[in-house]
Amino acid sequence: MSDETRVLLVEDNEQNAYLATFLLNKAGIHVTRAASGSEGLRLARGAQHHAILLDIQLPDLDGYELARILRQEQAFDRVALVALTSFAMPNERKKAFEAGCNGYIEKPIEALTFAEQVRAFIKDYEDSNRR
Amino acid sequence: MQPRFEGKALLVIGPVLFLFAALAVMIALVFSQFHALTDAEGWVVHTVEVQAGLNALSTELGTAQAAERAYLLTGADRYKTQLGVAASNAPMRLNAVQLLTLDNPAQQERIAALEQIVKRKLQSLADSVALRSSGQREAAVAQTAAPERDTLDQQIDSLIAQMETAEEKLLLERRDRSASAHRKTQMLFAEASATSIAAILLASIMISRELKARRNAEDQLLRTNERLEERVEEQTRDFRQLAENIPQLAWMTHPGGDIFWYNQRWFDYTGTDLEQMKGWGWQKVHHPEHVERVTDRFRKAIETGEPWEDTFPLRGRDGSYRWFLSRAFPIRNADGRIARWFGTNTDITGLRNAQEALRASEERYRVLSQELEQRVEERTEQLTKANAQLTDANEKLKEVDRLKSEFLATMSHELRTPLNSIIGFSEIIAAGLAGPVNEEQKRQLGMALGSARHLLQIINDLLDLARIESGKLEVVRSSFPLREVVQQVVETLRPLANRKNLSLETEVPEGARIFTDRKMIFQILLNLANNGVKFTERGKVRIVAEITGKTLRMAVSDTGIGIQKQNLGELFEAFRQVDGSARRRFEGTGLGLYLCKRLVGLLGGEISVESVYGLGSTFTVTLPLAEQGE
Repeated sequence: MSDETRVLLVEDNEQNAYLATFLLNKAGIHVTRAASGSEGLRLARGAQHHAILLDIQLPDLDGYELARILRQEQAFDRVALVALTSFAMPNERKKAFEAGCNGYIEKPIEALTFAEQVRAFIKDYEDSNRR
Repeated sequence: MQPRFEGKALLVIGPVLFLFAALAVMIALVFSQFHALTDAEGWVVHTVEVQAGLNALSTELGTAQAAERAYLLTGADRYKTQLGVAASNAPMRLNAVQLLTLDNPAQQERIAALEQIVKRKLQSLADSVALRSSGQREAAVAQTAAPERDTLDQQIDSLIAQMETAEEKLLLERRDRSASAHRKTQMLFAEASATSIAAILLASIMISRELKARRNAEDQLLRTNERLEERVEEQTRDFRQLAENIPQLAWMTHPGGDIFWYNQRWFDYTGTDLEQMKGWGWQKVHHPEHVERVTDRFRKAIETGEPWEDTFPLRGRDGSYRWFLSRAFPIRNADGRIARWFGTNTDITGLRNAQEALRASEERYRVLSQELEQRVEERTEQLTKANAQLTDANEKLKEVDRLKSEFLATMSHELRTPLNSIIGFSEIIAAGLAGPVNEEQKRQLGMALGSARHLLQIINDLLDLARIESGKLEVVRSSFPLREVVQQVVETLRPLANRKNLSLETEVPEGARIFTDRKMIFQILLNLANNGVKFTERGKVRIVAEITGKTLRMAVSDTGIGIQKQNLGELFEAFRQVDGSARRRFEGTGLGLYLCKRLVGLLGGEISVESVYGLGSTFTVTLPLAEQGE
């Protein structure tokens, strides 16, 4: 495994996926993109990532469901799960943490700080696992 | 009263009895003294008798000697007879004296001596007479001159004198005794009299007292009796008056049931008089259908002495009948026998009519109530149907509400998603991350970014409002440093403030932590401060927070355009922005202050505003702080 930080982005909206990918790549983070929950699950199982960024409203499996499935698999114990929410439903933050996410970024994302926020969540999760 | 009287009698009778006893003793004493007195008097008589006896003896002896001399001289036989009589009388006289002095031995001795001498004297006289009768006259005369005769006479005189002296002496003594007895008797008599008078006086005083007391008692008794009679009269008068004034008809019967008295009301009502009504005359005003039963039952009551009660109609003077509840009860003597019956008749026609009316009304009510029940049943059915419909409607409404929430969530997501990329790419390009941009491009991108952010703000406000209105926004309390939230607000607003050359000032107590909904506090402060920055062209926006006891007070003031007085009242209403010109000059949904008010309300606090038009405004939020863990 190389030193490069690898992230799986599960996002159905093309523009937003491009935006996030652009910002993360600019920060030197490698991004694999999935356009649906099921594709996200498949790609997550297929390769190792430092973090999986989950949009909540997805066409098939929603972000919470995907997080719950991933957290039940030992392979993802050390993978940070970060929810990307659009602040639409009540208690989204709470639901995200209950589903097993350890990070939470509200949309619209801050273009200038997004990548930093992602890196910070990865580091926090690694630190908490090391402890 | 009786026992006290007896006691009093004893009190009076005791001393009186004692006095009488004393009097009796006195009388006994007086009597005994009187006896002594008569005794003494007896002795005086006795002495006189003794003296008289002795005188008689002397006389007999003198007579005998005179008869002897006469015979001696004349020889006449009659003198001889005289002598014989005197000679036989003398011993008798002596004997009488002897009997009188039997208690006196000295006198007895003298009498014995006297007897011998008298016997010799009489013998001497008899001797001389015998001599004369035998013719020896000379010898007989000589006999009279014989010395022996003188001796005998002297002896007789001496003895008689002695006896008389003794008797006189005795008499003197006895007179003395008699006098003392007399005096004693007098004294005793006087004492007895005095005592008697005292006793009688005392007794009479006591008796008079007793009499007076008895008279008093009698008077009292009399007065009591009078009063009692008065009271009886009064009571009778009262009773009659009462009976005349009660609203009922009233009457009284003899023990056998014959009525002898009615009150005036009876006569007024029936239009009759006592003559017609007395005895059993009342049957005349009874209804023919009732009179038999009433009479039977009244007779039965009279026989048994049980109180009587019945209800029946009585005919009035106008011929119409009214209903009466009638009662009678026996009045008994002190010995328990029935003296009379007292009865009343109470007019209950009104009551009966009322009862009838009530029954009719009850019947009507029953019918109505049945109708009502039927109607209620029908109505209940309708209501049940309506309720079912309502439940359906409610279900539908819930569904609609759910759909609305879902719609809002979806809309929010759908609106935000494009904004996400609009804002994101605008920032990327403006920041030169996608390659160089000239100043004009940067300016235009900035405008697009501002509009996109404003649009996002409108979406967020609408979403919050929708949540509050549907009660879906929950208060989530946590403990956090107050300064941190204020700082967050300042950081958020700093770019805008810097662009307008406004200074942002804060005054927050060092290290103060509060336990409340962090996100709401942030939203409230951000809204207020954002308004401040928005409506201020020169000067500053200042956030001051302080904690007093359990109250958090946050004030956001600016040096902006201020608000006119007439607009202050509607400031916190939804979709309001002060005056048309301001609406054009300043962007905003007009939802901010309304949202603030609702959020403050959710946290249990209050929001207020003070403003001087043209100088600036101060918004103040006051919140109660909950203790952590509450």
